[in-house]
Amino acid sequence: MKKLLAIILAALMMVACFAGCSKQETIVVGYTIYDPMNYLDENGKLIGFDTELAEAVFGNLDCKVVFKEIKWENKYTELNSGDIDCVWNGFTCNTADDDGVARADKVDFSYNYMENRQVIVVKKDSGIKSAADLKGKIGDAEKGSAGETYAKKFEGIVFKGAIKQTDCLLSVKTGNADFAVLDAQLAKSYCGKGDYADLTIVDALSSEVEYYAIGFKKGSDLTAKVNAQLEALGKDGTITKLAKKYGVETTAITDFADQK
Amino acid sequence: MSFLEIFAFLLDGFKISLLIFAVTLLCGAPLGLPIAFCSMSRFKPIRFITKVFVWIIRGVPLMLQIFIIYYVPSLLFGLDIWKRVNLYFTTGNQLSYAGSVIAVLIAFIINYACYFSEIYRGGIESISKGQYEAGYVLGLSKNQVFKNIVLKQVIKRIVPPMSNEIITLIKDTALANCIMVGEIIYKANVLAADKALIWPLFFTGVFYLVFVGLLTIVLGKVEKNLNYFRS
Repeated sequence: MKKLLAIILAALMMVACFAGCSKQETIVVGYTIYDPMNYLDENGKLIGFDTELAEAVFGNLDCKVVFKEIKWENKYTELNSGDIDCVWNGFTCNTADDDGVARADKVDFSYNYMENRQVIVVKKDSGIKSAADLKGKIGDAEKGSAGETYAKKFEGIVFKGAIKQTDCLLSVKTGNADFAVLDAQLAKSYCGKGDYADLTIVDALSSEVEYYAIGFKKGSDLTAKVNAQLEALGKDGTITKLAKKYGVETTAITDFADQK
Repeated sequence: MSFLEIFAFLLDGFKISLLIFAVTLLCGAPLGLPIAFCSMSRFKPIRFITKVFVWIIRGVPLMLQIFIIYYVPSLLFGLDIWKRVNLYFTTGNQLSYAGSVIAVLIAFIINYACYFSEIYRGGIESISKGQYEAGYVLGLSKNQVFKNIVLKQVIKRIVPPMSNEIITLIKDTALANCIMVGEIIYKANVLAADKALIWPLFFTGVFYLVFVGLLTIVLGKVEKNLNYFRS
C-alpha cells in the first residue's frame, strides 16, 4: 500500500521534485536482466558482476548510480535522449549492428573488460550439431544484439527477433524457434536452470572471441573517467574479487595496460 | 522460490494494474462528461474540434499514445520530467517507475475519457425530444428537466456499455509494460528472465479472471439497483 501511495503522491510532488533534486550527480545505467551480469537476488535487489562493478566505479567517482531496465533494441535511443547515461550490460563492442554500421561508430566504448563468445543454444534432443544442421531452422536472438549479427552469418536460417536474450530461451523451450544465439556468459548460467533444464549449448558452433565494454553517448566525458577507474579497480584486485563472486574469472579482464 | 513468494511477487505487480485501473476510472469517467457536452455543443467550432480530438484518440493505438506521452517531452523539448520523477522516487539501486506510471495514467485517462464521452453522448441523445418538451410544458426548468428526467434514464442506459469498457480497462493496463512499468505481466516476465520460470506468465490470467469476476458481480448489482422506472 505504501508503494501505491508513493506513486499517487508522485503526481502531486512533481513540482517539489524540480526544486528538490540533490546536487550529487546521479548516473543512470541501462540494463536488461541477464544472469550473471545484472539480475535479481532473493530479495529482489539487483546484483550481478556488471551491477557491482558499475557501483564500484561510480562510487569512486562520487556519483550515485541507479539502474534502469531497458529494451535492448532501444539502447541507442535511450542513450541519445539522455534517459540513461551508459549501457553496462554485457555490451559487445567489436561488432557491427544489423545495419552494417560498427557499434563503435554509434557510441563511445570504455576499455574491454570481459571476453565473450556467441553460442548456439538448442533443445537437447534437437539433433543440431553442425552449421549444416541449421539450414531451414528458425533462429532467435535479441533484436539489435551481437547474437543477431552472428545468427545471420549462417546460411539458410530463418531469423526471428526477441526483446531480450532470455526471451530467446523461452522461444526455444516452447518450440517457437529451433535455436537461439546468446552470449556465452548468459547461456552457461541459464541452460539447465529451472524450466530450461532441457536446453544445451552446441560448443562446435561458438563464435570467435568478442569483448564486452561499457557504452556511452558519443563525446561523453564519462568514458575517460570510467576507464581510469577500471584500471584502478583492476590493479587493486576488486575486479578479480567480483569475477570470482559471479564465476566469470576466466573471462574478466583485469589488466588494461595494452588498451590505452 | 515457493508458490507463495511468487504469488506475492505477482500480486505486487497486480497492485500497479489496479492502481492504473482505479485512477483511470476515477478521473476518466468524470472527464468524459465535458467532452460529451462539447461534442454535442451547438457552437460549431467546439463541436468540430472535439470530434477531431476524439477521432485522433480513438483512432491511434493506446500503446502509441503511451509512447508519445513518455518520449516526446524529452525528445522534442528536452524536458526529462519522467526521468526526474523516476529518480526522485528511487530508493534502492533500481530506477523506480513512478514517473513512467504517471505518463501511463495520463495516456489512459485521456483515452478512456474519449471512449466514455461517446457512451455518454449516445445515452443523452437516445432520450427523445418529446420528453424535454413535456418537461417544459409542465413548467420545469432546463436544469430540472436534465436532472430529473434525462439524467436518470441516461445513467440506466449507459451502465451496460460502461461495464464493457470497465472490463476492457483492467486488461488494457497490461499495455503499461511497454515502457517498463512493473504491472503484473511485466513482473511475470521478470520471473521468466531471472528465475527461468515460465508458468507464472500464464498464472497471471487467474488474477485478471478473479478481478473481472468480481467486477461482473458488482456491475450486475448496479444494473439491478437502477431499475427505478419499472413498476
